[in-house]
Amino acid sequence: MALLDLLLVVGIIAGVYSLLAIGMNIHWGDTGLLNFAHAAFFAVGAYTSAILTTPVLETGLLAERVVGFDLPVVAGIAAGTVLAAGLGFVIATTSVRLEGDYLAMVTLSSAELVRLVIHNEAWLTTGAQTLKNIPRPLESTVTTLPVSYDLFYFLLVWGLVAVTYLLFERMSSGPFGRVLHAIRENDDVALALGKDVSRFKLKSFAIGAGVAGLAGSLWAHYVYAISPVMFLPSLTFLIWTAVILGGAGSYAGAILGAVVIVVLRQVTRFIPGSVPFADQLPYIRLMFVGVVLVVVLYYRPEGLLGNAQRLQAGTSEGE
Amino acid sequence: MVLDPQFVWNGIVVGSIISVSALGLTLIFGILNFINIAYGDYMATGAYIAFAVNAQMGLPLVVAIAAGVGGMAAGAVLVDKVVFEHFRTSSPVTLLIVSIGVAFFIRNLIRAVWGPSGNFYDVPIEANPSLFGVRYSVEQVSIIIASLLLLAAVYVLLRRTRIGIAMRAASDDRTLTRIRGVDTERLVLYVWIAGGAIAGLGGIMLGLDAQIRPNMGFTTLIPIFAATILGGIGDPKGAVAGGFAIGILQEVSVVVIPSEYKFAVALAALIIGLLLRPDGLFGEATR
Amino acid sequence: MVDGRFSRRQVVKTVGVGGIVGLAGCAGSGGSGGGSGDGPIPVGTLAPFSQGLGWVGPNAARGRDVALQSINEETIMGREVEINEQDTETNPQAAVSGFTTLNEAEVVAMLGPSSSVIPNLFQPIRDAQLPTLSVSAGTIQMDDVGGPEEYLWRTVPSDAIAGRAQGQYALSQDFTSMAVTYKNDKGSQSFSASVADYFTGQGGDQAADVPLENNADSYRSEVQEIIDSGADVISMTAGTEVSALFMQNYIQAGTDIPLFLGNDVLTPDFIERVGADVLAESPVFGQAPAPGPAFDQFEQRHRDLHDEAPGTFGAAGYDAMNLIALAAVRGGAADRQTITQNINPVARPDGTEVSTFAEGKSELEAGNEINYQGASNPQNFDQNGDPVGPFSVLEVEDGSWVKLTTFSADELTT
Repeated sequence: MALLDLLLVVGIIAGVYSLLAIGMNIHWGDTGLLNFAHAAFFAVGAYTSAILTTPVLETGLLAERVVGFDLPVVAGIAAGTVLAAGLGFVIATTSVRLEGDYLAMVTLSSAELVRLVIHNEAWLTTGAQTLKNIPRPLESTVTTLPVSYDLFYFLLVWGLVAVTYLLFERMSSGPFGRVLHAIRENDDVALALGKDVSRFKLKSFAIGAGVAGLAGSLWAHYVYAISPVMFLPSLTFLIWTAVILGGAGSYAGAILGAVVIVVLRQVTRFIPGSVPFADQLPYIRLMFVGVVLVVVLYYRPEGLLGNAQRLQAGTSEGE
Repeated sequence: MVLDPQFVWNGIVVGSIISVSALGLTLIFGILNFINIAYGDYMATGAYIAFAVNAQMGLPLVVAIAAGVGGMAAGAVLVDKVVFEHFRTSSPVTLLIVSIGVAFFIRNLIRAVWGPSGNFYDVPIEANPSLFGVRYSVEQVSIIIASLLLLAAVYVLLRRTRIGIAMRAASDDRTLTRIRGVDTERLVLYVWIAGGAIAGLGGIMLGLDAQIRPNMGFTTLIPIFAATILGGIGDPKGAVAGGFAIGILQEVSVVVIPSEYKFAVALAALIIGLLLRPDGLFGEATR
Repeated sequence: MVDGRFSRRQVVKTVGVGGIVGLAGCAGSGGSGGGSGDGPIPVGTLAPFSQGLGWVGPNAARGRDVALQSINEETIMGREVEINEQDTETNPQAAVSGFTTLNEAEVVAMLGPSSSVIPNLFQPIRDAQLPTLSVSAGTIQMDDVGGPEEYLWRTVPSDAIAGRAQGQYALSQDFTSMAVTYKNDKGSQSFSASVADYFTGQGGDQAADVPLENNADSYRSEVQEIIDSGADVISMTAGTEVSALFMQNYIQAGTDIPLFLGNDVLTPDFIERVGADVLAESPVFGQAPAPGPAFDQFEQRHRDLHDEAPGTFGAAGYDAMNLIALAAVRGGAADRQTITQNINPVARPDGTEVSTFAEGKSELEAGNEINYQGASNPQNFDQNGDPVGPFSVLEVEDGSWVKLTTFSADELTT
């Protein structure tokens, strides 16, 4: 029974990470945009939804939040998705014209700026304190059913992953996706075909950010409480690793990459404390992530499920 | 509130450290043409090597500084041989992601070896002397002098020596330089040695003025990038000017904005700098 | 690292996949656990071993291992305790999977996490009915949560009480204007807010409120801002890393405004980092829970086992482990329900005072009630599972923290 619980919780985390990876894949895999602000989109989704669905109830010295609504969870999730997409749009408006690695620096800085604001504007977000008592959707209904809440949420998250996957696969192989791919290969070609390159980049950025926002809302409504430490840049880097591992440009790859990362992290939890270097284990684990990233990029730059052809045009210096 | 000159002094010290660090980053960028995220962790490695020699082995600080600078120069070459060399033909974007992997590895290696918490060099902590109401420490004065000397040395290197002139040429146009018969692989080697040594020195300065932490370089990376970009990436004197500008702005900012937003100064400078003047202060960037 | 010397064993459960088929749909796992059988008793530790608060976990674990050593010599009804250690990475995400991993391993009790992740676990702890003793969460966000109904205790006092000790001492020294500065994170904010609230509530003035950003390279400008504010006393709250850098900048600034430190840094380690002489010369004070009756013997055994003095939260880890073990002995079973029901009874003031597991075990076996007197504090819990106890104000003298005065539990709670 307990093992099933563990599998479900790991599955829920993997589902949330999969959504993040899907969002990243439309940016990098389809459009060739370097987005290093994913943690911020995740955070905006989580905080928007949490603020909209929790009344201001906290009392005491640390209760500085004065903004709060008691809206239904579904409204929170919708708003979280939309607002994250909006933030993606705003960041992209200022910077999509920049070259790839400059865009990376602007998005990384923007994400840190967002986190700084969340951390310090306690009237809105409770600041460094934990925003708690976030409701779980349909909790009272589910408890009357003969299924555990974790199972329900697992199905909900993976249902959304499936829907998102199908939508994005379709979009990627449709006319919109073809323009994105043309932009990825070469801006000028797309431009010559009479496409408004910036507008397509903006759309791609907003859509991917929206999915990350959805992931954030779903996560917030599962874990009861959120705080700024959940949204450090290391999360963005981890999702990058997932996308590259799975194969940039492939949505199935993005999901697989996310699942592999989450499962690997869980498996290392079973390593007994008596092995040599057990105290250094958390760090060795992260060193390993670094090695995986480099090794994959060297030996299998197309990733587990990626398309080698896409790669040739996208990442080698053949301009 | 009147501007306390202490803030300006603090800013000059921080600015010196950022300038030196930005100089190394921009040299590497000029030749290798990619943003090296692991640069901050090179700084930390230099600082920790010096820490091991100074505080753990008990040798004098001068020896420790030499070891940290030399060790990191060798370290940068080693990382190039093991990793970056295999990606020479990859795009700047791939290299940037590779450098993230390298950064993860180095930072956590430091944590595994020296533990996650902060350390100090074996330098006594005492009340600083003050001059015209401004407190300064011997370390701070040394940092400023060392950074000025280094900046002058790099200037001479780039302007007066064959290798320096070749570096500048290569940073303007690599293919052209190769056609003219310059061995670019040798240039790459020299630039890693110089860039690694400067990173190590920047890290040691930072550790002397502040604290030695595993993520000390990574968290300083954004101000350093802001300086590099403000100055026009790839342009050494721009990086120096950018470094002092960011350092002073950041420290003086606490007078007008809440101190928790001090970091936002560098973040905002980086964003605005990139959007308004992608060519940098002096407008002679490499791209 | 030193704590690797003491072999920590862990339980790795291998459950056949066939075992879970058909179990889908069964909710909860409360009351499960290694209550029966003769194997070792699994106890969990969920603490930050990496990232932001990564220094907390190892400190608490070393303290816990001191208790574990004698528990496994004496045994709980013939059984030893095995620890399963999970890292929260100071991040709720990792904490949730760490918690579920412990629940799956059927631990019977848990030494709990820090304040940064505990609000995420209030409900899961209740659902799993897993008794949890936090060894580091002082946050006032936890003041009205806890007790046996919620399966939650903590072995460190609330910041609200600690803040009063600092505020009272400042007032007794005729300070009227306080600058509050703190690491800009959850725990330090909580502590600082308590100090400021008490101080201003008693007629003092708050001259400045200066957050210290984590990962900053210097706090010189922040120190200057405080000096410029005209405060006559500074209250500074942060962990060792931020505190050490702040102290360095404070000393360099050559100011003579007295400085109060938070209880996280009243350790020998901190003196070593900053320097004994300079701390003795500067007007630096700190307050900490008055060491519990069992502290001296704990400290000695800690040195014997680990070759170093206990770090912050070490004594809290020791107390939590002892309380769990004694609760199991008193209830006569090592399962979640029994331990939950027996934590308060082994700590209540009307029993025979004991300060080690061995003493407690023999009293309990003789049929007597006991009152566990801890190493970190007396461990008398209020209705919300928070310990109340005396606090001392200390300063540095000859390289160690020396007590100046002590406020009793009564003075701090009324």
